[in-house]
Amino acid sequence: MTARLPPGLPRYLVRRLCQAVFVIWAAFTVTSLLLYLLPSDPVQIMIGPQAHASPGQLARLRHEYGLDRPVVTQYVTQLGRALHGDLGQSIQSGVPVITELFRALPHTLALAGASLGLGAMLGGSVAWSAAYASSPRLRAALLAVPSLFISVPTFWLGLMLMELFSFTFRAFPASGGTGFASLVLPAVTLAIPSAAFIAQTLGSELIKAMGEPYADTARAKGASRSRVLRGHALRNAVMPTLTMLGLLVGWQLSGSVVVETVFARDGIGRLTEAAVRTQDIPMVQGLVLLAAVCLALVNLAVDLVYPLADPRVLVRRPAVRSRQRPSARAAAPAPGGGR
Amino acid sequence: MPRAVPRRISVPSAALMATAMLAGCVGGGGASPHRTVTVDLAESITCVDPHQAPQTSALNVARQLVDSLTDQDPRTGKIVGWIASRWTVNRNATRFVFTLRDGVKFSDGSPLDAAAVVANIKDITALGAKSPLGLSYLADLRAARATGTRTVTVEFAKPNAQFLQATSTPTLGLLSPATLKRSPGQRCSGRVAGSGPFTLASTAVNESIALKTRRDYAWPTPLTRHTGAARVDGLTFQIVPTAQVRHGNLVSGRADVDTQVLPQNKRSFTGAGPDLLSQVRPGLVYTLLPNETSPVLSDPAVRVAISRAIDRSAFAPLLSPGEAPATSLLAKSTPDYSNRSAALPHDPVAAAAMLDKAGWSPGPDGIRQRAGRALRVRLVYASTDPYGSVYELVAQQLRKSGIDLALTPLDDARNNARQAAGDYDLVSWGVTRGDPSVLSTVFTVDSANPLRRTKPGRLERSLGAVSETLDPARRQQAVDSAVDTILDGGHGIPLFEQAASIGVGDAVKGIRLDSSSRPIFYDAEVSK
Repeated sequence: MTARLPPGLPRYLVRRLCQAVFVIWAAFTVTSLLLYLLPSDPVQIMIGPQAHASPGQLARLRHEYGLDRPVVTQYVTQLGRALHGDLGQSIQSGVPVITELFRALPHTLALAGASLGLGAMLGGSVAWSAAYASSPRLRAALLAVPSLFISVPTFWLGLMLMELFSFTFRAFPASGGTGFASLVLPAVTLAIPSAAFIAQTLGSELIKAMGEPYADTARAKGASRSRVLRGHALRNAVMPTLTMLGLLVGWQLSGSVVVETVFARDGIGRLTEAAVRTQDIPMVQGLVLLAAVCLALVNLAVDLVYPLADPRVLVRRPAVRSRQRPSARAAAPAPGGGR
Repeated sequence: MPRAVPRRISVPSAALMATAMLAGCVGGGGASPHRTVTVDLAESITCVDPHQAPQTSALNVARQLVDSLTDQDPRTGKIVGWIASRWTVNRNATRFVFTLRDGVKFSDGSPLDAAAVVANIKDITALGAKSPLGLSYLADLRAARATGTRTVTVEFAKPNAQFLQATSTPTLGLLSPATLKRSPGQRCSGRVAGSGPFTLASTAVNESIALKTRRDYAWPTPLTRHTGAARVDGLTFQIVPTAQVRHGNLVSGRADVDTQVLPQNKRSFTGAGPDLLSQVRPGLVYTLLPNETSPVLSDPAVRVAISRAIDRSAFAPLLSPGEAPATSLLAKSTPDYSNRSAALPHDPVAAAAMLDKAGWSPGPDGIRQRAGRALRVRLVYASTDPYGSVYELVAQQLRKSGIDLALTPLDDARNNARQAAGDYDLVSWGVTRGDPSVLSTVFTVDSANPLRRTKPGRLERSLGAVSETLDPARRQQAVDSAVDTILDGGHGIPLFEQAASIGVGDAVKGIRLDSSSRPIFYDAEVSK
């Protein structure tokens, strides 16, 4: 097996992995610094401004959460614990952070997965249709769709969908996270802006690729427009779209803050909103770590998919000029790329 | 390639078909006929343990799970027996002896006896700052002991008349001894057993909490309308943070109760459909509290002038049903309330005279000045405070008298930090409590002390008298004198009485509000 790996792959993998680990550590460190620089006191927030606790009682609580130790000690201890999978306890609920994260994560993964899938289908369709359309007017109209999708505020879209499909037609529940039905409206809400990003990137890349000489050559050889799109243009257009998909995973996490609140679903977004609002330091750190790990994993996955779409990324230096553009033959083994 | 032609339309049409299928296959998910009441809460519940949680949402749920030694009649403010069938209090309110009713059992089967009550009181003391409300209820506790299997004696180092009313709150609600042995974190996440009419069935964090009816329940408070088990099968509390969604749920019948109706939705309760239950919350009305160490507000004349410059009658359009401009520091529904509106006139002329005398003269931009300094006071509050529009109106009114009220809405974390550090001129607090002693938890030096006063004085003496007696005539006199002292010194500038506004769908009958305006579901019935 090893012998069949492309020569540049192991080196490429190691480099990507090191980068991922660095990103995760940096996220943890910067968050810790920011949280400790903030002037407010998580313990004071927990008990509220109207409660009267004696200084001794407050000190006891701060000691319990380790908030009375020097910042550097807190940071080092937390980093050490985090390496062993212990992220401490939520100040607000007293529950281990890791328990809370594992409870909430599946809800958000389901939401993000459904919305990304839906977004990719919708965005891909718009991009494909725009590239396929032969009428310039239709194409312009289709290329304007992403701007429309991205301009709709998620909060408002969620409320409108709910008004229509929950309160008027009663097709889907308006709140909660149990069952498939409860996933539909939140996923659609989050899918609309995702679709916009995908349609925007893929659409313009496809159209650009269709203007390249190799597309003309293929057409001249008698290939249909759809075949050139699928067989030749898509392969070249898909790289920037993959990068965009990686970024969109991060966007799903931030979008879930709004969508999970509007649709009253449990998940990472809800946890984040509450943890930031109450300055639940261990919780915020856990969430940042989770987000960093997710993004690093997705980026790694995207990096690993790149060589499949375009083997040239494994070559450190662009080789001979004639290989800069993949020939029609090189692109041929990906006929179902638009699936 | 012959397959190229049919496949070229497959991508967009597949997306459309998938969407259509999604929409079609999951219809009719509406409310099924049930005997369960669905209640929408506004905030997430991070902790269901009534001993620890101070948040309204959490206590709304916990109230259904636990019983208390006493209950308070919301109409009269009178304390009535519940788990304690009777009690005695010594003359200076330092010793309370409760006699418990017989045959009460926690939902885990253990008996609710004197030892259990003592364990509860000790637990709350041991929680310390983890029980922010319990702290003030049990301040200066000297001892709690079982003086018989059904007799509990609680002693305080100082007079503590408010303790009797405190025993009616869910915070001092009774949990089983086995529950008390669990860690505070475990209890927060739902491992709690009380003696109430409902028990915790399941929790979906941040989404819902299901309660089921306890069939062997037989010790309701005398304020209920029936005896025996609750009439519904269970309760489902949903966490729905967005007000418009809660309202949509209620109007469309997806939920039976909205525990926090916003003023802008109150119009939809006028005709047929859901009803609005509203009740003035007892305790300290929404009140501007001055930081008396601030250079401007250290002068009592300026504080009183601010109060005179406010036209409280103009608040009405901005308030919810049941809410009204303040007529005292205490809301009408607080025991020992009396109307003090004579001390709260809208009198801009008097305000101007007071400010002139204090050396603040009209400046070129309409804002008064003294020694080149503008008469500017910062009101710090949480941006989630639903009464921001009232503060804006107050700012407009004060501007006419040459006072610049700088509104400073902040996120929770910064608001907390600023309030804890005393970095404000004014804060706006309303504190719900069915006892006039609420004043002591705000205005004394040994309290949360938002006034940032440093030396005890007249206020402490006058408020101390309220703590020292439960004799109705003496207490009324002490409360009136304390309220007058606070108003005359401009230590508090009352604005308006806050009310609970709870929307109830027409399928449900029998929900009542307790003395803290929490909904009680024990008598509730579902008619459809």
